[in-house]
Amino acid sequence: MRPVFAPVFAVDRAAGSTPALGSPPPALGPANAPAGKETTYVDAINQGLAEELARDPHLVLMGQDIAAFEGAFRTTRGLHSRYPERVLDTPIAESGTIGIAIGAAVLGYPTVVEMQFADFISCGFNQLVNVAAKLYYRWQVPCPIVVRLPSGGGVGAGPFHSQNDEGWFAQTAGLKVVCPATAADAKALLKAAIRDPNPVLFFEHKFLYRRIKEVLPAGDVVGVLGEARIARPGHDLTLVAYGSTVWTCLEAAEELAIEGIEAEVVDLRTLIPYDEATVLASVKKTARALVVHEAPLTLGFGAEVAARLADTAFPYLDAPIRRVTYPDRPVPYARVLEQQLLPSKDKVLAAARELLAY
Amino acid sequence: MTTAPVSSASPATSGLADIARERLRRYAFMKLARDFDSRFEALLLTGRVSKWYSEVGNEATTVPAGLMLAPGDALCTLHRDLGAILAVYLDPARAFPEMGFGEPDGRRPDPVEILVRLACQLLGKGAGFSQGVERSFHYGYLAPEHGILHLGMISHLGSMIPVAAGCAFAHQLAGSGRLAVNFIGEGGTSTGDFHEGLNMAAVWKLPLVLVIENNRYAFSTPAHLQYAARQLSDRGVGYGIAAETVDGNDPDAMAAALARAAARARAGEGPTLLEAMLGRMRGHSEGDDSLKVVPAEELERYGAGLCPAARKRGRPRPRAARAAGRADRRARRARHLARARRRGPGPIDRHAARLRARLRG
Repeated sequence: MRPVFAPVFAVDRAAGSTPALGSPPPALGPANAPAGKETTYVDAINQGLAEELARDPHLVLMGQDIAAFEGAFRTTRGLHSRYPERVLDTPIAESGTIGIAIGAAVLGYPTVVEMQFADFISCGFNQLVNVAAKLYYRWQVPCPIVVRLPSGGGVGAGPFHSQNDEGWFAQTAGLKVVCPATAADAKALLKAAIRDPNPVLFFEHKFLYRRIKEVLPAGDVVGVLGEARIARPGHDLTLVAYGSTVWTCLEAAEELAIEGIEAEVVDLRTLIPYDEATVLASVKKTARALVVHEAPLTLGFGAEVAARLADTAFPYLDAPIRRVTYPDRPVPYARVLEQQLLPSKDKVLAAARELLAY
Repeated sequence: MTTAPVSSASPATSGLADIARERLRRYAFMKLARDFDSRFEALLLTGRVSKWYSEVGNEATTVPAGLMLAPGDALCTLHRDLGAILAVYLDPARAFPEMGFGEPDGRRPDPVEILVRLACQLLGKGAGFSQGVERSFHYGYLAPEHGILHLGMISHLGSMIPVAAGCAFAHQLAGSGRLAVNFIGEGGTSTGDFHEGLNMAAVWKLPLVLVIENNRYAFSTPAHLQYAARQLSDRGVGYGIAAETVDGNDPDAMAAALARAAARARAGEGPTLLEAMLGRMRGHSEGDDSLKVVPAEELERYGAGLCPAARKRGRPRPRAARAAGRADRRARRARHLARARRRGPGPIDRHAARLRARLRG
């Protein structure tokens, strides 16, 4: 079978252009990676971008208001001043920008495109699903682009600044879909995405940007796309989540532990490639599976997780596979309306208790 | 930014012998493109290919565009740009050894091998560029070792304009003085990607030459239902870029306009929009019945005077007189074919009608 994805070890500058960009960029200032200090999710992404720009003199960043203004979320802070020729503002043209990124990537310039909000990716949909996703299958030419997508709700931003669009892309062969939940993963998986020879959609959860922080490991830590993580070990029930709902599940697991129930929380980290083995191993152990995500229910990624488990874990299950997700409707603006709809700790607990009763 | 030499010399500054050689070179490629195309039209009729998009009538635009490219320039084609592809793939000295095009350039692949590979691609065979997974002109051939960077199309028209602009952006970053050329039909100019790609190319002053092949019909939709502008090159003002409308059936005029555009691109002066006025001499795809939207008188006109291969002006002689005669005969055959098509349904149409009737019944 002809491969859909370029092999990760072959980051091949397809067209073999040998660009001369002048003198090497200045070294990173110490302010970027302070030892022993906690780093927020958004700053972890900033560090990942800065380190990759320094590592690869061909890497280009494009997006709306990311250069001198340093991004709507300040994710590109300090980057344009250091790399003015490679950190570029674009017009309001999502399709044009992604198309340009594809052309540049094919000719040897891996490119990271920032969507100001994940919602706006719909304007660049065709370039991603038809040009980028199918390029390797059609031509066996790598297309190393990353689209960064500040996504998700819980911040009172209304129908067009709150969506979780990952499902649109998980269904398209040829795209990798990454949804980090922690600051360390945000940095390590972003680096892996940038070095991957395939188009990668990198969903950053806006709610997590400044709400979580941790001490990041030192050095050039590069994650692996396609490896889930056991966020909390347990043996009574498996909670499968990604992005912000990993934290919802951890809170729920904490509360269940008070009752003596040990829930295992699996953080998928990447939807595509999907780490089916880790999820299956967990469910074989716990015999119960609850999938939690903030994207809508119908054909959300949880549907795929449930279907795969129904296929492979059926002999091990003691209870039906359940999902706790956002309902099939747009995201309302008023916080009181939105909060009712988001998957919460209480909804996860209620579903978990139902499964544990079987 | 360093500036590479522009490959195709401007006729105004060359000697008469050079002009004659340039014309002969263009003519050789136009003729080859049309012969190649005719073979595939025949293969379609016998069912050996499932679909054929003919470039008959576009050669005087596509061939000069291909010949304008220097090694390492990016070529981004649609489905009526065979002439440009041949001009980029083939070393004229080796492809036409009897015509005195000088010494082989030593960089491009063996002409016979590459033509066989191209034919295999178009026939959907494993030895083609895409090993059979992509149809017709949707393949890519990125061979920097030969100085060839050819990106084919996706079916969504307009989509490749930003991608071509991205190739131009890569060349700009590399400071290589290279450019990207991209084709679009007049129908494709109505897409959002035409606007986004061209606008970004203009804002970033990218070395992009965008050639509109305006044959005035998009499948069946005539130009007046596609755009309200007097001419599409008028849009250049809106983007702040150079733009001109050229007789796309005049290879001399096209070559001159393309040379101006390439010089601007290589000098860092940004993109150029060229509107090449062409005739619609074939269907959208062959056998799809869409040639019937072209009025009979209009088709006649293409055959008689507009068709580049049948034109007196710019035709090299006497060396290629015999070849020119063959092209004239071919143009006449094309006219007969068009007439024949207008007379009534052919065997394929009749078969399709019977099938439809059976399905309805």
